[in-house]
Amino acid sequence: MDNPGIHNLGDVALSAINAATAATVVTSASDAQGTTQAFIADLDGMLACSISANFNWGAGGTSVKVTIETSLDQGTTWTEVARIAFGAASEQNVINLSGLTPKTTPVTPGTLSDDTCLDGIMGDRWRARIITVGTYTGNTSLSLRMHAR
Amino acid sequence: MMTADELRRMYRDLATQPVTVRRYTGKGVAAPFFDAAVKGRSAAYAPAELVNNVLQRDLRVIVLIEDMIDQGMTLPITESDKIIVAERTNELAVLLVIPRKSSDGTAVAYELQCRG
Repeated sequence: MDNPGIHNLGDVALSAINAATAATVVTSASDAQGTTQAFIADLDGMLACSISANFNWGAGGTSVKVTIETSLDQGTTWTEVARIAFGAASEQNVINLSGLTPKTTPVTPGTLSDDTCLDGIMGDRWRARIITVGTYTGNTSLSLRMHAR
Repeated sequence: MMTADELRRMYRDLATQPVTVRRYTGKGVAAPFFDAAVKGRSAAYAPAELVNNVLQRDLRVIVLIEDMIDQGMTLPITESDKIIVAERTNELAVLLVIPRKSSDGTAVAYELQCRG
């Protein structure tokens, strides 16, 4: 595959967490020309990925929902493949997704339930979005990583 | 007057040492960070260059922009990023970021003044 290894799906500081009252993309990378883009790309040939969502809770807040999305049409539409929920406690959640999982019954992309995944769907570009309820304080932060292979 | 490719080749020949660019997000001891491990070049300043804000033990670190892009680091490098090089045990602070450009204005590399 192109570019195996660790990729940053987003590091989110306190102010950005609290600002995400609507679903907000937290992924940022540079394209070949150095222009900022809101997804990671150049992952052609990826067969599997392990994703880590590490939530460091400071104080306050109600919930942070992290959605991991991939696109099969070069960014025209995005398919939610994982949704991870955090509350008012520090927590790290890890998942593994495989591109070899058969999906022989058509799936209509939609919003997943908390802490569930849609396995077997892998595009060449990925991003993460968050949506926050409540106001967090202290050194609350969120770190999202993907290990692509 | 060098083209972007010529300048890139020149810097690529220089970039033989491991350099890590570390970007922190947020505050606190558990602040997440992301490392971009690239090939670069670090060197001390010559005595004649120790003027203005350049102090002894400062390092000049060069990294290529295309390597930063390949590692998924959003450009540009800023003064809030940290640098890790082999010859220093601690992270270095970035004091100054100078983009090195070819004659057509294409930024090819960053030259960083680092201290720590």
